[in-house]
Amino acid sequence: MHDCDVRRTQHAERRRLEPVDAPPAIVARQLSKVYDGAHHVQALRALDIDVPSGQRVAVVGKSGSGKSTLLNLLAGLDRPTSGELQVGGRPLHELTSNEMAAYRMQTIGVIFQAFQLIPQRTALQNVELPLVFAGLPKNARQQKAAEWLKRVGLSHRLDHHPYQLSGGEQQRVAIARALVNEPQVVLADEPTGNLDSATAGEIVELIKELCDASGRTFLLVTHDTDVGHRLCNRMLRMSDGQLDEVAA
Amino acid sequence: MNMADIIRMAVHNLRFRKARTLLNLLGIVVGCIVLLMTAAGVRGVKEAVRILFDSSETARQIGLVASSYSVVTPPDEAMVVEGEMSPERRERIRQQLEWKWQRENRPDKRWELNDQSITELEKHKKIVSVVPEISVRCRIEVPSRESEDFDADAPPQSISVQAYGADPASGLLKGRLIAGDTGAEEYSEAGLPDVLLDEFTAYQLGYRSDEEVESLIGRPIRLIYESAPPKQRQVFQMLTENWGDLSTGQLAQQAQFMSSIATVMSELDKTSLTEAQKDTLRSLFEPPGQQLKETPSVTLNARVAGVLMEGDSDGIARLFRGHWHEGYGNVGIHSKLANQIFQDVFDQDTFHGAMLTVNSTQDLAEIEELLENQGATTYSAVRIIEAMERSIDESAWVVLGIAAAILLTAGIGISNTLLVSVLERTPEFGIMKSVGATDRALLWLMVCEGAILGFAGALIATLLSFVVGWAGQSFLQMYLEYRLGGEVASTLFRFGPIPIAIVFVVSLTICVLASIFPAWRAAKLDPIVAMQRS
Repeated sequence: MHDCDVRRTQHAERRRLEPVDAPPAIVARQLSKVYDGAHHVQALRALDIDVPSGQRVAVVGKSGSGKSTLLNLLAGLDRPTSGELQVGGRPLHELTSNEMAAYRMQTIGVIFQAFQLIPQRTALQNVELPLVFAGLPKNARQQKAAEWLKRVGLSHRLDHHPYQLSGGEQQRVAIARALVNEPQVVLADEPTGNLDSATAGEIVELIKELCDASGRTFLLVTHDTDVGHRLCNRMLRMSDGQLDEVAA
Repeated sequence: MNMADIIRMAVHNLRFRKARTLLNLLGIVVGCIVLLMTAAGVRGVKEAVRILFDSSETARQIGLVASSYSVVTPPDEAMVVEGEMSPERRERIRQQLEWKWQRENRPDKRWELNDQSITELEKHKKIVSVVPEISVRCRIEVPSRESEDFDADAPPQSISVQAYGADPASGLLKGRLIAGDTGAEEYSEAGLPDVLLDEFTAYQLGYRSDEEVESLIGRPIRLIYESAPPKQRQVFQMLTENWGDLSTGQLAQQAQFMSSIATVMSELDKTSLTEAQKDTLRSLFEPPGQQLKETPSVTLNARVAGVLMEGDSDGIARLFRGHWHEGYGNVGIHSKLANQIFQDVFDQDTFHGAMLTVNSTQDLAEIEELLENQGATTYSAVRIIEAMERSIDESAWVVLGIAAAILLTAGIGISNTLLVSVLERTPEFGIMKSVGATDRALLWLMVCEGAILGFAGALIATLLSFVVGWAGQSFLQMYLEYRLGGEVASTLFRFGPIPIAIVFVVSLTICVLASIFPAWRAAKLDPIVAMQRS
């Protein structure tokens, strides 16, 4: 069988596994992003994507292919130049600044490659941060943050600052922070990129376990297809600002 | 995100950067301390000076002359200088024209200051006492040193003095006593009125050592008033008393002049002068013997109650040297008695002036205005006190200017520090935005950090000011007592609620204003760019 046919078949099989009536968590139509600085760069070119709720999707590609740009748009950290983008039913291209902040707080959780923890705050305070902006009372949010740190295996590190934690532990804190608000969609940008292989394996297992347990939509951006395969049941390849389905 | 969380987060951020926060606070604290200490010091020193002056009778006294004139601007036509001349000379002539017009046209007022008007003044609740100014020449006699009383065999010692009406209750007199006391209100136990001598009069009478001055107390004394008005009598005496010193030629001229005067006086009834004018001329030029025949002299037997030193009774009085003092003269008798003699002997019912004492220096201006409206000219310490308060205020403005400069510098420092802090915390703000922080939340966070600095700075400054005020009290007290020559028994740093509130408002305003631009920068950060800096 031709490679292309195999890919199509696998894709069809995977689609059959998904619930037919599941509403799409992520929908992009003709999504483009152009950076007009010293150089004109078209990061995304009329990109279309549909990610149903609960699906775990990996976007793989080389550096500069546009996968981080796509993640930034999905994370509500950037705005598309043209096209439409809906996440959890919210049209991101139409949201105001405050609505976008609310979207970042309620709808998505992001796991960054560089962990992005605030060094002056403890593990507990870092996990607590999204709940602060959500306006949760102090006791409730501390309890919730502590629960999540327990779930990622850091119940003994609540009062440690990031510089007192290992890379793997820091990424666990970041995972807890991404999930503490129980978002509809979890985005991960090279979550194992800064970790050694053993720790990376642990983190992959943790993410998989948490996603399995919650059934949340998960979108992973990575250059490591192996991580993509281990975490996701659908894989898309990004090349030159466009997406292609990849056989599982 | 609620305000409590913003404040909690701001406090956390400031605590995390302790050194920077402390340096920022230092600028605010220094500025606020200078501001608060200046306000408290001005208030305290003004109050202390007021209390100090109030304790001095001199400062609470108003000397009044029962006449005044108003300065009225002359009309333009009266000020025209005609002819060609230099501008300087024109100006001099113009000045002379103005003075001439004022002399001829100013509306002079004269107040009938008599017993009745003095009684009216004494009823005023802010006036403590009114002593009419009575000061006349008289002769005093005391028995010879060897005699206890006036004795025909031993001639008494006699000198010419200025007698004045004094208030025995006056603190000024008490402060000047070097022997005896100020005497009784009316008459001593021996049924004689008490008199006060000044030390120079005692010296002239031969009582020189301290023991001799002490021995003068209780001795009898006679005051001999001659009823001819002193000024008028002096004119004739002035013309005749120095004849012995004149040369032959001068004597001839003087005799010729006196002959002319005698002719005028003998033909006085033929002139067109009014009776009053004729009487005045007669009193001026008729020999004293003729007049004394009609109105014989009055002798007052008294006893010496006390001896007063020359000069001022208290240190504060020295501040008011140009101001009218009570009790200048050689022999003081109770003002009521002096008044009685003045009216009976000299047939006068109005006084040239009086000395008022008011409750407080704060009443001076009001009472002065009241007296001036009656037509009196007044002299008091009010202008000195006002000038002193103005001087304190002017000094305070200079110090407040310095405080403002310090606070402004501190504000710029805070703005700079917060701006650096925003740059330093750019990744933090990016992370916050990525997890849902709104622009407004970050703006409030930075403004809140500035406000906390301002509030904490003002609070620390207020507490430190109390300590500095307490410590500085003795130093400032010593300085003021040295400069004013009196005891300062008052709190010199008075911290009122209004200056403290102003310091808090100023500090908060400066810090919040200083934080607005950094806060705006933080709020407008691009989260992607911000996180890339981590």
